[in-house]
Amino acid sequence: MTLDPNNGWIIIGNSVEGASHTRSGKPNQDRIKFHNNSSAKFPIIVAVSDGHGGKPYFRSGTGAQLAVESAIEIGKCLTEVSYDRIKDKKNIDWICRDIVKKWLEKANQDLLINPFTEEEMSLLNVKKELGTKRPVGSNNNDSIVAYGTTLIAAFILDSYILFLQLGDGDVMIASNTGIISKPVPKDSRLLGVETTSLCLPESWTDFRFCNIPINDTSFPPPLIIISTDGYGNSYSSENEFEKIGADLLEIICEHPEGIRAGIELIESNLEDWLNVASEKGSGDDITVGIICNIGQIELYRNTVHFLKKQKNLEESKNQEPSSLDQKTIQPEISVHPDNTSKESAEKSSESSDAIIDQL
Amino acid sequence: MTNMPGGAPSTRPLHFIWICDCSGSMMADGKIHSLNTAIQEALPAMRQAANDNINANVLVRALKFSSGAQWINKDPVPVESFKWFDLDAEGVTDMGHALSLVAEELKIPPMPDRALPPVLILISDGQPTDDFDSGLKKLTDLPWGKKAVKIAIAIGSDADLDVLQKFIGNSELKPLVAKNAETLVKQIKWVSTKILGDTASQKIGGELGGKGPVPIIVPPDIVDGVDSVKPW
Repeated sequence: MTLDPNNGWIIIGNSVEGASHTRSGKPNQDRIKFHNNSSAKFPIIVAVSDGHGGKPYFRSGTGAQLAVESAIEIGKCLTEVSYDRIKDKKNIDWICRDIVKKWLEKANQDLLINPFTEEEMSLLNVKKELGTKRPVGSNNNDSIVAYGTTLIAAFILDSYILFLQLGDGDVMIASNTGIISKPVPKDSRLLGVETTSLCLPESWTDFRFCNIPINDTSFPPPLIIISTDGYGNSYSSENEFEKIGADLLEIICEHPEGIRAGIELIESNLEDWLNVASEKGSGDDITVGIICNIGQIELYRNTVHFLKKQKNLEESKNQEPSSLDQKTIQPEISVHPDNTSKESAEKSSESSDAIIDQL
Repeated sequence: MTNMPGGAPSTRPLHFIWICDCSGSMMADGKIHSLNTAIQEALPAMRQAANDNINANVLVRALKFSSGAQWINKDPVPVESFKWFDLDAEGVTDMGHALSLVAEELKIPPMPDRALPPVLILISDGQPTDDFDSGLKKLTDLPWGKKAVKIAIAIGSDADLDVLQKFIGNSELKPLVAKNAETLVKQIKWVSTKILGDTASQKIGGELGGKGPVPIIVPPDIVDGVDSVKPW
């Protein structure tokens, strides 16, 4: 658990090896990393990544580790980027490019230190595509697919929260009225076992993003949950999966010893929960980061949660319904400026240059 | 352990659909009987392949086409309780209609978006007598229609291989040609075990960087089949 009493944010998380990976002897290829510098308060950063499991991606666990490190290194610079600037999509573009560039630098460095063996080379099976681009200055080396991975990162600053997502996985938020939502736009190309990936050319254009301003009228959500796709794929529907957000909020609010004890309870159970979800669900590696805002959880507990409890009490006494006025925070959501067609979440698969299988 | 948050975890559905030609020509040389027998005989191995992939929930359906097309079971049935009911053959070859019916079922909803790629097995001995292209377009216009693992089996030498190739949609994967009943049995067993298992374990069904489907390697004995004294 990362705890910073100065600004009231608590981060917990875990990563478990998939049940099917355990059966087949494959390692966990997911990674998670936090950044919470208590002396500087912000940014708080949580990043998760899911290295692809197929044979050509034989270094994807390393790729996933380099991805979360890259997100945190680039994200630290966001203290110099105001909300007004982050609203400009050109700046989002630069952040995405910088993350990809940093990841490629790290992957190429790893490749220099640990060159592929002949056996590894035979696994790559990569056709070089003419006309593809990588960020300026990086090694245009298609063997980088060995490190293929997704990336989701949450960057929390004093005036905004920025989510960046490349590939599959989920970002879920619980609002201070208890409404559960998934703020990052969908990418309709991600279906079945396919995902976009950091290892593909021009991968920065495949980032989707969402900004939530923090000011006197727009508060941070009490809970943010970011997870690799093994978690969501363990549930039969979005509703069943999104219930996780509501249930976590209830576990925290219901704890008799208070909010922090509720969060500790979640942390102590998280590994077991994820193991059960993988065993009975997707079989995939599962990684989850949970970001809790104590002040907003308190607000929720003392208002909506309290009213819900009152309502339940009344209903059990009178069997009469009552109403709860719930408002939803409307985050500013968008997609990468180079790929505005994704805004409709209906992007045609004819343009699926950046789709990769995650076998 | 405190109660788990969220709904009950569940495995990902894998929809497996037999699309069978029941036109009159399938009566000749006992082709329809061979098809019925081949699928019946493959079911135990298919169940075993599903059992070997416990994080996939294999659901099976069958659809027949002749003069028109209709579901034998429109609702998906878990592989462990799926039963094959012998098909009869008569009429023409409305393959396009059959693909339209499949397309209806691959829309989201009723298909969930959190699923494994569906597997579609098209088996035919002839040439479409209706608007095949229109039916195929309805299928391939859908996200799941594009992502589906599509295999075609041609029974005998009169099957329209060009049409079956269009259905597959991947020039590197050819229709399997069953020259006789023994070969059909082998091919049906291969698709209902190897293709099913590889899709369930996510070894096939994706695309590599948008550069075409991950190759499905068909073993030579499945392509060449079995020599028989009684070819179709």
